[in-house]
Amino acid sequence: MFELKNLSKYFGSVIANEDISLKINEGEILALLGENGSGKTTLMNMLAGLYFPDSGQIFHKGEEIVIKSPKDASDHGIGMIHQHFKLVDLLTAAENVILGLNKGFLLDREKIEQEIKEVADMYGFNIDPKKKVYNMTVSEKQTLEIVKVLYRGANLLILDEPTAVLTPQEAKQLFKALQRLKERGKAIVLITHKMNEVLEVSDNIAVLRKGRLVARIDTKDATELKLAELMVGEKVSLNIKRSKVKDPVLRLEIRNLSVKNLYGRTVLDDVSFDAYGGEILGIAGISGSGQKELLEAIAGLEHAQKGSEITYYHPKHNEVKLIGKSPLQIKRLGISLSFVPEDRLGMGLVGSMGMVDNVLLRTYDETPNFYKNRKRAKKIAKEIKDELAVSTPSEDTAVQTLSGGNVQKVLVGREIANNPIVFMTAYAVRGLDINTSYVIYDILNKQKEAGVAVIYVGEDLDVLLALSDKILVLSNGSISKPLDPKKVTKEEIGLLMTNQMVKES
Amino acid sequence: MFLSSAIDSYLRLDTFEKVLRAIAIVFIVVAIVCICVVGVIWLVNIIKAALKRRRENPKEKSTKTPLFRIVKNNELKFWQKLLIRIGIFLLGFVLYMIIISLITGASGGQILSTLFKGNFGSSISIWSLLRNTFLLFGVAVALVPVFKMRFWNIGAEGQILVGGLATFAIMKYLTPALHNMQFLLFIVMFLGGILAGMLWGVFPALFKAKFGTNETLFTLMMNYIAIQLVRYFCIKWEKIPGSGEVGIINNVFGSEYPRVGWISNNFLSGIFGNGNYVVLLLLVSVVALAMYVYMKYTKQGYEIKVVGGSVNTANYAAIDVQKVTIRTVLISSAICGFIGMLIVAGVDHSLSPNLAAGRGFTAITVTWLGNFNMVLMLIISAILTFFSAGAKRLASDISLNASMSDVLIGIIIFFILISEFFIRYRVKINLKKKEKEELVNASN
Repeated sequence: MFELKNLSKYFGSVIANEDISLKINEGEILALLGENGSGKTTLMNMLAGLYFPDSGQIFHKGEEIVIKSPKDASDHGIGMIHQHFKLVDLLTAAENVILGLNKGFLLDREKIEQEIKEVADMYGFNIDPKKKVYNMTVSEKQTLEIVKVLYRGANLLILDEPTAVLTPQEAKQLFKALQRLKERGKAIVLITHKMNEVLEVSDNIAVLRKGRLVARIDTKDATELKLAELMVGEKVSLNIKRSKVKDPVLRLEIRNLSVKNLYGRTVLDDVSFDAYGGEILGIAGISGSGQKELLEAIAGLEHAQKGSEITYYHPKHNEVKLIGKSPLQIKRLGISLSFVPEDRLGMGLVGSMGMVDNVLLRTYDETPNFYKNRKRAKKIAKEIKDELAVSTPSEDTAVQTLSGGNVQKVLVGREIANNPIVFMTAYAVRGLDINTSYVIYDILNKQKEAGVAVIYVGEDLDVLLALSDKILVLSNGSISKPLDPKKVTKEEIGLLMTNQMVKES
Repeated sequence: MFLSSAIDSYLRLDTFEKVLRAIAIVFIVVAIVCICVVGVIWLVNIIKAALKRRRENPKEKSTKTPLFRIVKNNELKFWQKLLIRIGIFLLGFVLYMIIISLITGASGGQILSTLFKGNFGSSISIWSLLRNTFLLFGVAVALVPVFKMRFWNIGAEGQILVGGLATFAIMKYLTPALHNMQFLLFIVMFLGGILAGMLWGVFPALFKAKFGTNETLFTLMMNYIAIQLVRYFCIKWEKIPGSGEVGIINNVFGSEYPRVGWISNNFLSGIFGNGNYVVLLLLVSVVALAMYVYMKYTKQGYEIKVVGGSVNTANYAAIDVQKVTIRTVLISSAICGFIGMLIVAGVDHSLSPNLAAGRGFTAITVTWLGNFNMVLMLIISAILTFFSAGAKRLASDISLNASMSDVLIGIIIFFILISEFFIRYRVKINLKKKEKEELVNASN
């Protein structure tokens, strides 16, 4: 139905896409697979009218078309569902669907809502056109996005990382819906880097690497290992090792931790657990279930409710109560708490600064001098660069210009250089390529073997199960009992993740 | 307004000149009209063609690629950037001259010579160019740490004013007691100036740090309080009842303590001689140098950059954001107060609500255009001062309306901004292959 011919797109000297030719057929689910930064989203953004190609052509049913704006794309029957939904929270589902359609001056809400309902029913979606977006769950919002592009007459649906925000159960629902769309002759492009999903739902797979199309293969002929090698361009091993736990020591004891957010809503409800040195404690949960607040409360960045207790067991001194202490006080007490936050550039690092100045963030206050001393930071930065193979023009290049993987290496490297006793990571491999992810898993394992208490907040359940020694599941601010990853299944964890929601409704 | 002044100046010319000018004006008007007519015809044709295509082929979607595209550009060498800056600045300067010559009828050479006379015509005008440049630069330096911290202090004007007010009050009331110990008097003036400036800065800073109030509005409002306060004291201390002017303090003639507390003439006068502003320039240079070292080599400067980069990161790295905010604003407002003291004790020797002369606002432009680079900031201060002094001369010599010349300084600033755009981006012009071929054929 659609054909791309020799499409190229450059950002300055960076190659985003080069010379890509690809056919998209109707009644087909095409998975666009590639690591982060391989140009998947850029390629599809050119189809969706967000970027304009530097060279190359796009054909629709054999005729050349030019897509200059999202409106052009929509006119040609292309609809994109972005990773971050483009919905107006305060409007209803129906209002969001017709937004920007310019259907005359007056609105006939009844008629529009009826039409939307019809479209939704035709493809088996369940949607309430009168519901406000802010009242919707993530998966409802996604359904709305799909109905929106269908209502506008899309024949090609592009979904950018649609399962990133869904539970395993919701993802299954989505895949079923995609199958129905396919049966009705729609073409579907699925942008993703999760190989198991690709193998599960797609008919064909196009693999991108460094902006180039390296393969287009039938899903029947693909295996996980083969795809991984195509994505990375070299042989990879997909096994995460898990060494045996040797004499665990209690490092962190959390009792009855409750946190309310700015608006007074309880985001952490009476959470209690222990973290042991020499263990990796995995924390699973839909994002936004209180993971951020949990780690930040331990780091002294979040105000905890009365009755909460966090006790830190220092290897040499006595135990310390962390509640009510500021990060500065915690630091002055000589507590080695390393923290890789979810928002790397917004919280862990200063984007406009280079590696050295970012390393300095942890070390600059070690001496009482008025002037700062960059020497030690320079040395550490150099070590991080060499050991973790950070690719940067120099140690003083602003880290915001580096790729996501390199940014994360800088952050993790700095936190490890801090010689932690407790090491907390939030979504440590989000957005990273396969190799870097394995570098990070390796680092976590080494820290564990060195007797560090590692807390790993993650989203990929396969990884959580393979890496952790114990798993906790957060759902809506409540925490489960510790589970043994060798015994529990993915489905069971998925159920625990949505547990609280089921109870509420 | 400028039209009337242009007509005025026109009527004053002799007959021959009048005829020449009239021919020139008619020529220009005809040229503009021609260009407009051609442009309109061209546009109409384009629209007609588009409509025609639409009619013949209603289903056809637009197939033209966008003509201009803006592309990021980050591989420029230092000299390329310099060349772009100078080139575009000159372009702006030429436009500036063209407009002035259109309004007043003066020739380019006349405008140039007037501008230079206004700035380099006498030793007094050279000194005043230097002095005003450094005063403006000093305020811009004061804004560097707060802007780096993303604290939008637009209250420099008020901080300068209260610094000046405090200095004047000290000169007025302590001169009799301390005229024999001028060094002590200078120390008290210095402290008074910076403390007053700090007082004007500390409230917005405290409220921002403790309650997260908007510092832009707060600092702006503080300016008006300062202006009214100075007005009040001007009337309270006025020399001639009803004039609202305090006159020159410790005047050379008719005063018991001639020139006591005057920086330029008494303080270190043995070294630098009378009548120049070397001390003032040196003091501002020292402040600028200290600020450079502070921002680049100290832990506190580093903390400022972290807070400006991301407050969340600063919290995460155990930096006391409240403390850094208050401390930094105090430093900034202290420097502003110090500049106020320099203006009163070193330049005006008087008090007026106009003593800051908009420097607190102009300095914002200087800091941003100079991109926090001390050398660039100094150059931009010099350019702006050059043009505003030149404008005064233009107003008197070739009767250019003074407000108009302020408008024209906007052109210069605008072109400096444009040069930043061209340093960061490149504009690509897209021609489709067919059109390219046509062009090639046409040229053959």
